[in-house]
Amino acid sequence: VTDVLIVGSGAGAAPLALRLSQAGFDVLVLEKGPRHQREDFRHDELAMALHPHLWQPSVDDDPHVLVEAANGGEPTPDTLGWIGRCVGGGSAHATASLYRFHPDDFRLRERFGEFEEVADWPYRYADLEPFYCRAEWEAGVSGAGGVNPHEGFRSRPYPMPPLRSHPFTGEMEAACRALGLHAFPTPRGVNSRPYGGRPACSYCDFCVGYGCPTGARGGAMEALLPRAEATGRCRVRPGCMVREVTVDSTGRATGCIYLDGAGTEHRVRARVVCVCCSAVESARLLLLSTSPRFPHGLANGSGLVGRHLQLHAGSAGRGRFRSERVPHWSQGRAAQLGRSVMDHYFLPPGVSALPKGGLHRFDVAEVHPMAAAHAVAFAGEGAPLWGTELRSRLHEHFHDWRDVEFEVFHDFVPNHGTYVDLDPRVRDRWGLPAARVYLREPEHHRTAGRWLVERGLEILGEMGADELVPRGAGYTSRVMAHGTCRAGADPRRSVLNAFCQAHEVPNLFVVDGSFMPTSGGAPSTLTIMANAFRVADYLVSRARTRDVA
Amino acid sequence: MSGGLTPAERRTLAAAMDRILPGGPDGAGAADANAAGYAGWITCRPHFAAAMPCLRTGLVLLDSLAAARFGLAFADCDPAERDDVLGRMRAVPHPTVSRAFVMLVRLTLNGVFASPAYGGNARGAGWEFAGFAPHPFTWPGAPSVEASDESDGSKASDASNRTDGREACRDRDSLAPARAAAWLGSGQ
Repeated sequence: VTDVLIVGSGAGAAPLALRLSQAGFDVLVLEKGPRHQREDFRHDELAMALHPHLWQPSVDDDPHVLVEAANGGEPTPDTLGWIGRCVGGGSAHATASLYRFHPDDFRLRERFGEFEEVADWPYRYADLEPFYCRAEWEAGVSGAGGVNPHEGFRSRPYPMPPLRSHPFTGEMEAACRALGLHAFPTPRGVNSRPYGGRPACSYCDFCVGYGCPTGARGGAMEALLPRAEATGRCRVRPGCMVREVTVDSTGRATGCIYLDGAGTEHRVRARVVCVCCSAVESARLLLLSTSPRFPHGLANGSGLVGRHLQLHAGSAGRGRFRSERVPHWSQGRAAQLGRSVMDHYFLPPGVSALPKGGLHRFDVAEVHPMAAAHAVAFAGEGAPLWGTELRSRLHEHFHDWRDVEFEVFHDFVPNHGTYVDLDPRVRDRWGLPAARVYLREPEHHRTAGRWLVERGLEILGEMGADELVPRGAGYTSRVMAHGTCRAGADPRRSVLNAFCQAHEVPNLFVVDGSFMPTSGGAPSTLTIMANAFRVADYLVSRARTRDVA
Repeated sequence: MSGGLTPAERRTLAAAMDRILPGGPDGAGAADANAAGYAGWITCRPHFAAAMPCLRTGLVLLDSLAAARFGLAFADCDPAERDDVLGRMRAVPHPTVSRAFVMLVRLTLNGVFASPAYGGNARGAGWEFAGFAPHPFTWPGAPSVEASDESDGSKASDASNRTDGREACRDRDSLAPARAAAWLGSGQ
C-alpha cells in the first residue's frame, strides 16, 4: 500500500510529490501522458509541427467535447481545457510567467458583491503568502519584488534577479512612467543565473509552446519531480490512465484502477489519494468514479463537481515600429522585453458590470521564421499569397517592422453556463466517456477586454509605435482551467474544504486549479503550486496525528 | 508505398516553387534554398501518403494548363508563363485544386524556412532572408533534429538532392498526422 497516490504530474501534483516524499511518505505519481526528456525538445519549428501531440492529445485519442453557447450549442470534439498531457503537465511548455495573485483576488465577492457565481476563497492572501515564497524558491523564479506597487505583501525576495532585458525595455518603462503607470519585470520560472542544479537561460527565443532543452526553465518537470524522485520515495509512472478512484464501504478512498499503455488494468492501493489532473480532467475522474455510496460521482453529494469551470479571459494587442526608427532594436536572442503592468487590475466605474480588470504582459514577438512565413502567406481570406507579392510581404514582415506585443490576462467569471459533465456519446481511446465542456462567456469579458486593450495600446502609442493593432478582446484562453471542485466552508455549496480535502471523503484531495472559486486576473500556475505546498503541509501535519492516513 | 515524387513530378514541383517564392536582391528564393529538396523528403513520409493524390492532381493540372496555353510542359515554360499558369490554377474554383495550391505554398515555405536538416533551406538561405539567427544549439550544433537518430540531417539532404526523391524515403520517426496535415496543406 502506497502512502500517497497522486494522479497527474503538473503544477498541482509536483509540489505534493516533492514535499511529501521529503517528509518521508511513499509517493506514487501516475501520469496519463509520456515522459519527455530535454533531448526531445528541439528548437525546430517543423519538428514541432510534425509532432503536434507532444503536449496535448488529439481529439481522436482523448477528446473534450465543447458545447459553446456562442456557437449555437453544437457539440464539437475539441482540446479546450487540455493543457499538458505529459510528465510535468502544462509547466513543461508554458511561458512560465509566475505571478502572484492580488490580495483582492481572494475576496472578490466581499469587495464587489454578488456577480454571476463569484465567490470568495476559503482563505486569504496572507494564508498563502508563505507558500508563494516556497513555490518561488522551489520552482526557481526570476523577478524583482517591490517594483510593482500593487503586489501584495512579500516576506521573501525572489530567489533570482530578473532575466536580462531587451534594449527596448527602457522605452517601455519610460512610457509607463509618463502615463503614471508602473512597469515591473515579469516574474518568470526561468533561471537568470544557475539555480537548483540547472543552468541559466540561454535566451534562445523559443519559449512559448516549446520545451526547454537546457532545463533553465523550471516547473514541475525540471525543478520539482526529479528532486522528489531523488528522495528514493517517489515513483513517477508515465503512460498510466486512471479511470476510477476506488472507495470502500465506509466511503474512504482506497486507491485507483488504471490502464497501462497496452490497456491492461491495474489496481493501486493508497492511504491518501490526490487528484491533480487539471480542472476539466479532475472533475471527469471524480464523475467517472461512481459507486453505490457515490452514485453521482465521487465526493459529489453536492452535485457541484464540474460546476463553476473557469478558463481565463484574454485580450491582446500589438504595436508596430518601423525598423529604421528603432536601430537599437535587437532581433532574436537578445532577451525579452519582459515587463508587465498591474495598474489596470481593477476597472474604473462605468467600464463594465464587474470592476475587475487584469494584468498586461508585454514582450517582443519571437522570431520564428516558418510560422511567420505561413502567417504572412495566409493572412487574408481565400487563397494564399504567392509570387512577388508574397516575397515583398515577407520582406516587409521580416525587415521593415519590429513588433511589441501585449497579452492581458483577466478573470473568467464563474457562471451557470460554464461547466463540465460527461458526454453521453463521445468516448476516449480507452472507451471512457469524454469530458463535455459547456462554455458561456459573460459579456463582462468583452467589455473589460476592450478597455484593457485600449490601455495596452495607449502604452505602445506612448512608446511611439507607428501602428497600433488590437488583436482580440475578452476571448477565452485555451490554457489554464479552474473551479470545477470549488473549495469553501459549506459542504452544500462546495466540494472541497480550505485544504482541498473533499468534504465527503476525508482521504481524498483535489489539488490543481479545481479548488479555485475565482480564476484570478493573472496566470494561475504559481498560485496552483503555492496552494499545493500548503495542502502538502496540511497533509504532513494531519498524517502525524493520524487524522488522514 | 507512399512513394514520394517521380523525377518528372519533382521537376514540375521545383518549377512551381521557384515562382511561388521567387528569388530577389534581398535574398534567396525557393530555387536557391532548394525547397524541392525538402519536398523530396516530406513527400516520402508515411503520413504524407494521404495527401499525395491531391498534390499529384495539382502537378498534373499545372502541366495540362501549360500545355493548353503554351504547348509546353510546365517546367519548360519561362517564368512569366509559369506565373500565368499558377495564377490560373489559383483561380480554379474547385476544392481539390484550392487544396493543391495551398499545399504548394506550404511546401514552398517549409522548404525555405524549416531547418536545413530536412533538405531545404540550403546553407540557411531562408533564415538569412528572415533575419533569423539560429541559436548555436539548434543549428549546426547538437542536439539537432536528427541527433538522436541514425540517419542524420545531412543524409536527408544528400538523399533528397538525388534526382529520384524515393531515395530519401526512409522512416525515421513516427509522425502524428493531424496537425502535420494542416501545416502541409494536405488537410482542411
